[in-house]
Amino acid sequence: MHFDKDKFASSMGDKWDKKDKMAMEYESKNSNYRTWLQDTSLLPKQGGLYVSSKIDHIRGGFGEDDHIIVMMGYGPDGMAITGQAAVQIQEDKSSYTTDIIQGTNIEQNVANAIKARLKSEYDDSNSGRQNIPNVVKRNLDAITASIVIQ
Amino acid sequence: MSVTIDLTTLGQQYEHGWNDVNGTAAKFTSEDSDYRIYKPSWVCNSDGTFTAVLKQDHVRGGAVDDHAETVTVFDSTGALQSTSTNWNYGNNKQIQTGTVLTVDLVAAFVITSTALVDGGLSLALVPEVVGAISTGCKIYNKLAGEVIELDDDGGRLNFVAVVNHNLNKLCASIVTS
Repeated sequence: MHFDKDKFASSMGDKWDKKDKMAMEYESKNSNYRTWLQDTSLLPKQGGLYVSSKIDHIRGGFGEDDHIIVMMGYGPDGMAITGQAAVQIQEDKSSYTTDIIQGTNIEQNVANAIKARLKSEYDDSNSGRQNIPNVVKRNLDAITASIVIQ
Repeated sequence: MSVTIDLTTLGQQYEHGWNDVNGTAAKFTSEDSDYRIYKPSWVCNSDGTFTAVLKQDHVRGGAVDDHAETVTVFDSTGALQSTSTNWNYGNNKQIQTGTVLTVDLVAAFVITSTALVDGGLSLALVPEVVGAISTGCKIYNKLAGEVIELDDDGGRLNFVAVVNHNLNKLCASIVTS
């Protein structure tokens, strides 16, 4: 069982061509984001696979990037069994982490959990923050699509 | 039955192996930040359990490194029993996560997935799994909440994920005979 980074790139419609091939950068709703190559480790007793990744909201001239760490657990059948995200909003004091999400539609529910904690009053210079849940959902779907069972 | 750690197996799970501190540590990059894990120390306890200590650094270059020390107990069959981690963030903050008893977050994944696949667990175990996951959630949430209140570039936030991966890699290196 493993994570296929080429499948992830294909799912995202992108390439690992940034940061010495360790990242991909892309636009979503007029804001820019970066996904770093995922880390993985097998869970004990053939319990599945644990995958984590950092996603940056690139803020350019507006300041330091925001960071999101996503952590997903997959069972031996390749289905997501847990998901969690930690969101670090620069300068803005509204950094937080979600509960560990379980059950069905974990990818969507992690995104929803992030959205529930986002402040609503970001101005145009930080509008990319409102889009973070959508970007996370896209990433988590792509991670799930890249789990290979053998 | 005796329990030990295969350091070759553990080192092979890091990209450059035991490449640091005269071969006593592995330095590696995760999510654009640098980390270090030292070869673990361990002891066989008189009750048949086995305790491993894992020291890990978030390498911060010009600033004081962050440190995490994970103490993990395995039973005599090499199964994970409990784990706890002490975190030190530069000169700023110390955080201690509590010990997760009986089933920790990592093992909870195993039991949960087994339940889904085999359906073979008794109902008596289900609340314990739920409780363990809930405990694990609280520990991680407390930890991550503390971490991300500190000003940093994402490497401290990712340190929690790194420590979780390190624990999985340690479990994969446990050998019983």
